Amino acid sequence: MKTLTLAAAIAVGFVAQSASAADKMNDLEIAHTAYTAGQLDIRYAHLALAVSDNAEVRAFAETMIRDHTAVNAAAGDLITKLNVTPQDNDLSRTLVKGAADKRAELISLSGKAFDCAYAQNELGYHQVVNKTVEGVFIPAVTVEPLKDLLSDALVTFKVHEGHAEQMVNGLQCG
Amino acid sequence: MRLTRRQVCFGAGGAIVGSALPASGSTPVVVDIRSFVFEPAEITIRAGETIVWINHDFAPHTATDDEVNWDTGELEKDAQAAIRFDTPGTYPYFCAYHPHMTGTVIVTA
Repeated sequence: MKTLTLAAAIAVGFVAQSASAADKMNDLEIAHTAYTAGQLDIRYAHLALAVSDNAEVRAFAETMIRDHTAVNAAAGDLITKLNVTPQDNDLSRTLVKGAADKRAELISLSGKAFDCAYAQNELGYHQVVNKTVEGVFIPAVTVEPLKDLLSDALVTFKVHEGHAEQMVNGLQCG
Repeated sequence: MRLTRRQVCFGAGGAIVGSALPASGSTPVVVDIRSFVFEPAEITIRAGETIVWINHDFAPHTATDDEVNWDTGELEKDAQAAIRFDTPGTYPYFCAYHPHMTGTVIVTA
């Protein structure tokens, strides 16, 4: 619960930061950040598959790899179709740095401690990403195909958030 | 866009995977997979008719019999798979990747 509260607090702060940053972000920067967020979750999932023996955690991780790979492939197709190059930006770099720190923390754990930390991070991560995509990115994007892609992707990400919440509850991390 | 076309004939003898659509000559009944929901979630057909599942989501899905007697296999976005049902009965199914997604096929004589 403590971790979840912390995750929620971080989420609120991150979304506020994202809202501020998005005022200055263009479509290509938003595309970069959304793509990066998916790639980072795939990396978390590969770590989970390398460390965890829990069937539920492993199934969740496999779903994250499968679904985020599909969403990012669609994003790649759109980028190719529009003949544009996503732009790295402060928010993407913040995400990458935060994920590196979290992976370093996770990799020092094993067993149930890892499973709980991974599950709670997945819940917090999807909460943050979903709030940012829905409340900041989609309203800010000006190119219609990118807005549509983010809207469709958000459906997937919200399912992930619900799935992560079930995983956290099922693990009974206390 | 990648299209997957396959057909499974499901009867008393089990599942037979084919490669053409549809064998019975009747128009297949469509179940759309959209926003992580099978639409319609419950569908009734006559024995010998075919159901086509079409995935409209980015996320890959399956339609997998609860008893795993038949399975569409992985359906990427815009892919489809057909299964013909020859034996009357009620067949609950789910998505193997997202088990909260469920549906039911009711086959009448």
